[in-house]
Amino acid sequence: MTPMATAEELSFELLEDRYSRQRMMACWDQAKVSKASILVAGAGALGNEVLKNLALMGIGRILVIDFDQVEVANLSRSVLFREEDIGRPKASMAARALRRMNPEIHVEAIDGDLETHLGLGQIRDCDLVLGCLDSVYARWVLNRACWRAGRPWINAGINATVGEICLHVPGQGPCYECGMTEQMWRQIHDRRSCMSLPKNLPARTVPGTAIIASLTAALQVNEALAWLHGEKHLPSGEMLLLSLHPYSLSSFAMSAKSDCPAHDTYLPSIFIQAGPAGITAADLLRQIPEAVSLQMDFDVLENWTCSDCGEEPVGRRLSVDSGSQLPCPRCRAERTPKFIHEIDGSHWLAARSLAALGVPPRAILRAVTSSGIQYLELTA
Amino acid sequence: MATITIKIMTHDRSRCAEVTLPDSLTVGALVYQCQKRWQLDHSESFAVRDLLRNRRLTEDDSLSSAGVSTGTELQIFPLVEGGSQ
Repeated sequence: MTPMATAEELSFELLEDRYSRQRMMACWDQAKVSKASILVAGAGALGNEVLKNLALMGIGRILVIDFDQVEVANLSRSVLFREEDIGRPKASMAARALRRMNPEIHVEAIDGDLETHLGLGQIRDCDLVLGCLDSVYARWVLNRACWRAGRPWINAGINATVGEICLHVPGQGPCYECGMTEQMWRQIHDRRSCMSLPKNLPARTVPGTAIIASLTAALQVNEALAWLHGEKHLPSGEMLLLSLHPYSLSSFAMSAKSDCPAHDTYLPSIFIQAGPAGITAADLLRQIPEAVSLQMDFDVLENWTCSDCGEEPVGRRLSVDSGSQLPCPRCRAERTPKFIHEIDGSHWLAARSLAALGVPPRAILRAVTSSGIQYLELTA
Repeated sequence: MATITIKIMTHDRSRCAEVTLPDSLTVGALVYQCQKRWQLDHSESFAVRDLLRNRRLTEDDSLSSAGVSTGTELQIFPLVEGGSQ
């Protein structure tokens, strides 16, 4: 019989791979991390740091959305951007840098607006959403979208010396909107003219350094990892407040509003194998039993009415460009817009494709049927 | 009208005051007074937390309905919105 080797005689070789150091932590489950799918909304200062951390740790699928382009002022706080990226879309440039950083992960980019280019189905595909946005309005939009999609999101914000992080889990505690102040509501209302036309207001330029962005993003990602591992550090709705001057880190709770209009979830029961470009509202309604009409979460500009020249049909989603059409092209008089957000099968807009009306890919829509509201998802 | 005496400070402790106020004053009105008197950044939104109970107070609540009483210590902090630029 061969004598057993002593411990000194055995040679232990650590299996070194990309993730071996983080796998050494008892609390770490690389399989969970590699299987995770995370949406990052915003690829600026915070988003860059968040995306970098997610990619380094091997989050399996990252979807990043940003409508903006890289500017020279981003370069002091954005680890993923280079001078040659100036003028190019932030989301695509960030995605390209992440693929180079970690070829083992899957990264997708949407160079578009959160409100008009992201369907609720795309949010439902993700385990978690990280908000790295720069305005109250964008956060309000994302909060509503996450609640409707039934997905948790972690909001973060920064100024020069303060960072804030807050996890919001639909159905558990307060949402972002529950904590909005009167001044924050004013900022949202200021985005619409007296005729309810959206104004193109640039986001407020906030001072900041890579220091506060990286610290805040690290805490935001840490909270995301805790969530993925089933170990919430912060209860839903509790805010983590980080200060650099003087140094402090504290957290505190807030109350949910029982009448908050953001607290509704769209649970789709009908799945339509089509994209918005390939189906009209009328076709869609024909596929749903007892369907009466289709409700959209946004205003469609149905027509302009000039008191002298009459009506001009439009039939497009209301956008910041709509305001430029306010003067009548014939007499230059100010026209009145007519909005619609519910279309029945006989309406002239029902013959248009959903994409032409402004419905994004993977949208979840509300159909009014004779037996109540049905939620349907465009899956193509 | 009942009055209460409380301590209020900014999150960075650069400003601090002990004030006597009607307990019917709303949290939002208190924030507005702090912004005005302390010349806090008017483009930023602020909220208030009770440091002893570690809770953010609701803007529409009066100090009394928010559970603020004499001896309470409050902190005013910004709701920061930067991140994507």
